[in-house]
Amino acid sequence: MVATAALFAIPFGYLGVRAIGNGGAGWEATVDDASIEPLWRSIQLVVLTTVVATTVGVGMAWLTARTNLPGRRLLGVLAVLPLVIPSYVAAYAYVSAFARGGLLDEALGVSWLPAVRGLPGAVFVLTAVSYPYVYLPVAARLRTLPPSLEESARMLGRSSWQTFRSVVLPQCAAPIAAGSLLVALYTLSDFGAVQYVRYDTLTRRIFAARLDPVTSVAVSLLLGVLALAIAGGEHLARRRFRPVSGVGMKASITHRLGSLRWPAFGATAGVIGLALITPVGVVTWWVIRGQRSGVRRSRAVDLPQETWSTAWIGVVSAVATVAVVLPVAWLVMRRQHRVAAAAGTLVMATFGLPGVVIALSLVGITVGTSWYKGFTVLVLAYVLHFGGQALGAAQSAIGSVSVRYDEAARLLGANRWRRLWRIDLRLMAPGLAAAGGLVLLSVMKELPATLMLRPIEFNTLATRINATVEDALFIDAGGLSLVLVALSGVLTWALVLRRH
Amino acid sequence: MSSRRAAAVPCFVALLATACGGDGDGGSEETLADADEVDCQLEPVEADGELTVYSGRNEELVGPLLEQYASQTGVDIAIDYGGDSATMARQISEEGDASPADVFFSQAPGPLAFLGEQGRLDTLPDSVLDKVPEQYRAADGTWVGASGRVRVLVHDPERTPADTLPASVFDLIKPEYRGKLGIAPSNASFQDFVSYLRIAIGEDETMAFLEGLVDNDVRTYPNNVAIVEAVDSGEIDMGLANHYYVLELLAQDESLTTRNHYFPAEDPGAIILVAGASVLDTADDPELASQFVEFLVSECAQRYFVDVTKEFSVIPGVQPPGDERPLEAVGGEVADLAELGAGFENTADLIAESGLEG
Repeated sequence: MVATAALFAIPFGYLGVRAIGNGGAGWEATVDDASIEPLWRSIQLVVLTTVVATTVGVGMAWLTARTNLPGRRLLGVLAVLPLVIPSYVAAYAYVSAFARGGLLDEALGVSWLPAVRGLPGAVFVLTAVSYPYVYLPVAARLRTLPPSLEESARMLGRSSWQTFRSVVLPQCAAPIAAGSLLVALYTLSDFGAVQYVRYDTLTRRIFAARLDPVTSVAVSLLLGVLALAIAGGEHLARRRFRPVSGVGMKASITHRLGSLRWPAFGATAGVIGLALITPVGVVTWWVIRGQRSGVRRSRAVDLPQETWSTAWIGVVSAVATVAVVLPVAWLVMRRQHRVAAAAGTLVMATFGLPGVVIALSLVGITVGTSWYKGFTVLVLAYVLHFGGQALGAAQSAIGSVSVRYDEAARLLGANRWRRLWRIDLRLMAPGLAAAGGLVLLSVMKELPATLMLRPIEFNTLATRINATVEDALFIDAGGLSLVLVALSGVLTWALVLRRH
Repeated sequence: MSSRRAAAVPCFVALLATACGGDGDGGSEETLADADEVDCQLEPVEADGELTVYSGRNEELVGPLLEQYASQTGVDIAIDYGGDSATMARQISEEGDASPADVFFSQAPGPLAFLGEQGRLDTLPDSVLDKVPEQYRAADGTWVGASGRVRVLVHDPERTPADTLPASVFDLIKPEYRGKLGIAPSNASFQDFVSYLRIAIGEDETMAFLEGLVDNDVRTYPNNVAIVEAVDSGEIDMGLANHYYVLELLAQDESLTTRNHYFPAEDPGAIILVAGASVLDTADDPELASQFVEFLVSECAQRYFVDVTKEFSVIPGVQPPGDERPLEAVGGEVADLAELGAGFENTADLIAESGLEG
């Protein structure tokens, strides 16, 4: 646990040391309007995106898990998938599809669509790619929640909506809080979407100032403090609700939506249409359009190799990440361990840092060693970058397993390790798989840290998408993006969804 | 194709590149074939260690040339393609004394100048510097240009003969060109041009010019290829682009009637954007690293840039791409955008503020 905390302290420590080294100039750069204004914009973006994405995520989870929504099984699976679309791909797809003369204009003749720009554009794009952070844990919770309370509420004459509000929401408070924290930190760390919709947040400022180290360190530190504040604030809020124990059984209660059944279907399908079908459609369109005009193809892309590299580095990093954060999650949830809780806050806050900041800190401390630009440091970067995702999900997993089983087994004389292995890990398995799944998806689309720390000649689908788009090899860029989305979908299915 | 060479800085994230510089369709199978036709016939080089090159230029673009160097000289060369040049420069800076990099190959002078200011670049030997005319290399000899891209006005000489074209890029806001001009405001090369204007004529004048374009009903396109195609189809009479778009499209389709027009050399409309290379102070074998940089400015490598990437050679005597005049005859000032520092990135926002939407 201490080792975990020490690892996650690296980026903050590095920023702190650099900022102190910069002295007065660093302080001036921190309080400069050019830093404070982006800070204010980041705060607005984080708040708005979190509210909208949480609403969408909870709504989607309840509709697909607990109601007689038409096609809810399929919709339930599709609802997870926007997570596999990199924010830069989504942002590009929306901006180009919604633009006048864009795909929607050309194909459907709709030219009145608003441009995806500024704060509303950024909220829209980031909601589309991040609401699954809320959807996943809440849907998982709803599936393991004992139906008895809801049944009682229904029998007492409460409507579906009243039951949802008075019974379901409180029981889902922990996963909702965990999911919205991920959305908030993801939004804070995002660069791809804000750069494209031109909303000048802290991450954009850090990028713009990359050849001005004093400023970029100062702004990174501001962002780091904001991330710590968000993670710490959530930690304080979380103490107010105690986790409700689940029983790990399949809950089958179904609310009848009645006349709202099809409108609800429309809303759910609309979210999936915007968040999943639109970006995938635009990318497919590149490929088709490119095929027709017979443009030049990439010479460097080796699809099987890059698909394999993406898959294995993703799986290894996911397993490593869960292993690193599990002790912290365990101590927090089972022992209410104070120090572990502080470590957990640090792990969460690190998720709020942009990849480039984490990567630069690892450059600083590993350069000159034989690990630099090796797989160990690359995997470490992913562990630091995405540990928060795994931690939230792992805590939910642990929280959903009743300690009563553990107590019963102890009375029967089972030792600690046997109880852990036979009871807790078994019951937590779906939740831990979900934790790993989140990390897996993030690693597969990660770009800035990968570009900086990957071993020479190691290419993932994401690095190839980057290179081919830069070179405007649109067939390849589109094709690679589709492979990335498909691979992510298959792996999510195989490792996570299938178990539910 | 081409944000790759268009970009001085902007885009390190995948699809963003399209935003800031990506262009739709372009290039051809023929272009690819050319890549294999350039054969430099290099002598084997005696070298003990490995040469590590950090390349801010795209593998698709320079990969074949660098691989040829490795295979013909027998030098064990590791090439790190790490995204955009400015981010790579920052990485080298953070790496400090322990940097594994021997050579830095940058898309633009700015990132090289950044490392130069930090004292991270070795002075290149005269044998390298002497190959490249002064205006295409650092005054202190820390880097040399490797290839050049020039801003042009594309037009159809039949429909709009050269004598009807504006004498300066600033004349494009005059009434006689109302509704006739196309630009790609989200493109990296257009942004480089605007960044240069900010240095050359100041923020206010630059803003006035951009607003003048808006008031003059300038047409906006998603990329430079679309501009050339719009000129070719008669939709507009002229467009601002980098020089190689017309050359790329001509290579695919000989019936293209659109051509490049170069503004006078002293006009900001004719700036040259160069890619450059340097030897880092951390090079294990500075002599080997210099030899590699020397290779980049050798006649053969220069011919590769001309034939394959359709850029201008920076050394005298290498024919320009297509039927263009040599660089020293067409080119204006070499744009050193480093002066803008971090403010460089604000150019995209300035363009958006002016009312240009792309």
